[in-house]
Amino acid sequence: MRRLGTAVILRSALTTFALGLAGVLYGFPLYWLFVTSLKSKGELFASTVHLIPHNPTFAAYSSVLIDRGFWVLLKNSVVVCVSTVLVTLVVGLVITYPLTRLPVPARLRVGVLNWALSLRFLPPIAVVIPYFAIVRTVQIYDQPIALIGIYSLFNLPFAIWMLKGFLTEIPLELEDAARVDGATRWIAFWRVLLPLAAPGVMAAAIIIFTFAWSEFLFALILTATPNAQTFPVGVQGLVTQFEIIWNDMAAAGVIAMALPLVLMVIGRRYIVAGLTFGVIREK
Amino acid sequence: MQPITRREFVKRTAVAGAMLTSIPAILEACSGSSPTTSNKPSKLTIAAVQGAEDGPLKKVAPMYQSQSGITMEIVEFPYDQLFEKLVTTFQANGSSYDLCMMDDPWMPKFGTMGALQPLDSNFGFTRDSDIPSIVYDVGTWPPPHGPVPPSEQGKSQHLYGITIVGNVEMFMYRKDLATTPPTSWDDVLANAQKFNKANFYGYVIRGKATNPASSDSLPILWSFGGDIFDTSWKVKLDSTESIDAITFLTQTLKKYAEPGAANIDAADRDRLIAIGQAFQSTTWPAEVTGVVEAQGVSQVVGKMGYIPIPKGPGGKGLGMMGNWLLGIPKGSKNGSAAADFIKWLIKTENMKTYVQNGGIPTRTSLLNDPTLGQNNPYFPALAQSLAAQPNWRPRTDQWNAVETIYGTAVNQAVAGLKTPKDALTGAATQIRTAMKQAGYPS
Repeated sequence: MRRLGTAVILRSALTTFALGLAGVLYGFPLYWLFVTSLKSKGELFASTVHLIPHNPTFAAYSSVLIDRGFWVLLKNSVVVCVSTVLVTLVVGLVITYPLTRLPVPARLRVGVLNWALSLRFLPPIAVVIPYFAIVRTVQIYDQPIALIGIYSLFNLPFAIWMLKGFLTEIPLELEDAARVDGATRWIAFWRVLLPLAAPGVMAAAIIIFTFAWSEFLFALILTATPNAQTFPVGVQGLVTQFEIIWNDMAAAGVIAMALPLVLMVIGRRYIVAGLTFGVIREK
Repeated sequence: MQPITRREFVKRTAVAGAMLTSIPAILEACSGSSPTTSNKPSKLTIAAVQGAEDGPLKKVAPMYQSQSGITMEIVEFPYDQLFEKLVTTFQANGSSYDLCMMDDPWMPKFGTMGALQPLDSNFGFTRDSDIPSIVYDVGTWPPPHGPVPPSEQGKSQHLYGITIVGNVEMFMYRKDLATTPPTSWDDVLANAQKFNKANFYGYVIRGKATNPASSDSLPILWSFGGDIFDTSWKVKLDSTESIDAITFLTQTLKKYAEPGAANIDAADRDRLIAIGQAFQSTTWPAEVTGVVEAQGVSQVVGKMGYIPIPKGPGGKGLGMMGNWLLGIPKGSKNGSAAADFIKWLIKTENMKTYVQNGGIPTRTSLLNDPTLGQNNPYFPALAQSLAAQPNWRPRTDQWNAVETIYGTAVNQAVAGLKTPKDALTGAATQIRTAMKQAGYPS
């Protein structure tokens, strides 16, 4: 009995230690990012490294957002990401609805899904130059619409596959019942299908937002001024030829992390539900 | 509500989707601004390098804005990306920027591309006797002296850029420890031996591959009589003088340098100097103002001495120019307003304000102004360096490729991966091939 109790305690201790270690491994970089953002330049150049800032200051945040004008880039990021989410979800629903709710030929359905999958595997670097040429030709270089277009395209496969899973899980009979009661197909979609699929749509929206939020390559290539530059483009500029502005970079990192983190916290129920929705059965 | 057919439903959904997807485009079209073509634009956009070089520009630009009523927008990029952005913009003859900051080695590329508007013939710029002639020469294309690229020979010279950051590479040392400044590289070596101890390095090598290693080693290469090209574009990087110079840096001096020198860039060098862990190194003015002499940051404020590059065995010390110029892209629709801004900026009184905000001047009167010198202890050394006609990097549009090859070779020698002789011989062969392909004599 005592041996069993010792084993349980030992296992519990080991589990606690392993979880604690994992917590430190994941948590320390975030902690270090945050405390670095609170340090002054003088403290960063001190001979000894401090785990806790001696004279914490929010000057780096003010420097990044106000002095360097990154609030404009932050605004651009929000505009681009929200637009990307809207465009991707609308187009995704337009594609997935017929695939899941209408008697579409199997060849067409498989073809569309395979096309979406192949798009997902396309490395962004392969299309950056041709897309740049197109953007130049249609004169949307350095315009947010150029980023919204390519982000929507690259997130579309994800949206199609995710939405397909959700819509497939919702019984056709529910819509049929609404139609029997006199609803049009649009009303049935809007009032019956969409509310039922809301957790999945929310999960897809948050994940698409997060992907778009951290995108860097296209944002760098397709923008030239704060008219369209997004936050990640500004952050990398803090490594200058003669100096790495660590505290500003850390403050920018904290700001960049904050919005997706808040969204994840707010929508974690939807994300968990969304990501596990439809994992059991495939039609 | 009337039921609709499936076909009608799909059609309506598609229309609704198309309308929604068009919203950002419509909003963008409504808010997008077309290039201003009037004489006085509402805004001038400057593409600038992020860091100490454009900091003072950002501080004085609002003054011009309040005087002229023209909004000044400064778009910052890191060093490498600024070059790429400018090349891309110039190739497309884009009008994104009305002014651009350019490192002086970029001038051959932009000059050859015909990417800039001539400041002399188009906007009436003339030379000012208070500004050293080398500063105007570096903004002139084709170059007024030294070898001219084959494709550029016979073209008429024009001024395409005006220096706003009078960078010349100098030398810094701990004057509180050494009684006299080093005058030669032998003195540098002797001081490195004398002051090197545990956790205090006798010399700091900026040995990171490509541009950093190239910038750090070229003054030594030149001071030893070596070079990358001779006056007729023949590669002489594998000459005895060149190999001796790189051997001195990567073997003799390296014994007293910081560990991991092959990965050290300017930021790391400045940190070592600023926390009092190193005795001496080459330096750029921006490093001095940004870190080494920055109050509240550096522990060696007032303890550093600044001198021109020490002399080599031949008795000459050759500093390297790293001027940052302002030019007007050919695609800019606001050339006149942009030129007015440059003229405003280089006026003595405005440049003085610019210097008081951390700027690096080109005017001799400001470099020798004792009141400005109090806060900028490197000004006398910079004035001497400019007056001594510092070297510029070879004026070829192939410089980026050449610098990559050369800077990689020096890095390999610093890292000990190759002997200096092997590294330079290999680099010379690669450069010969690249230059031959570009139409230069091999």
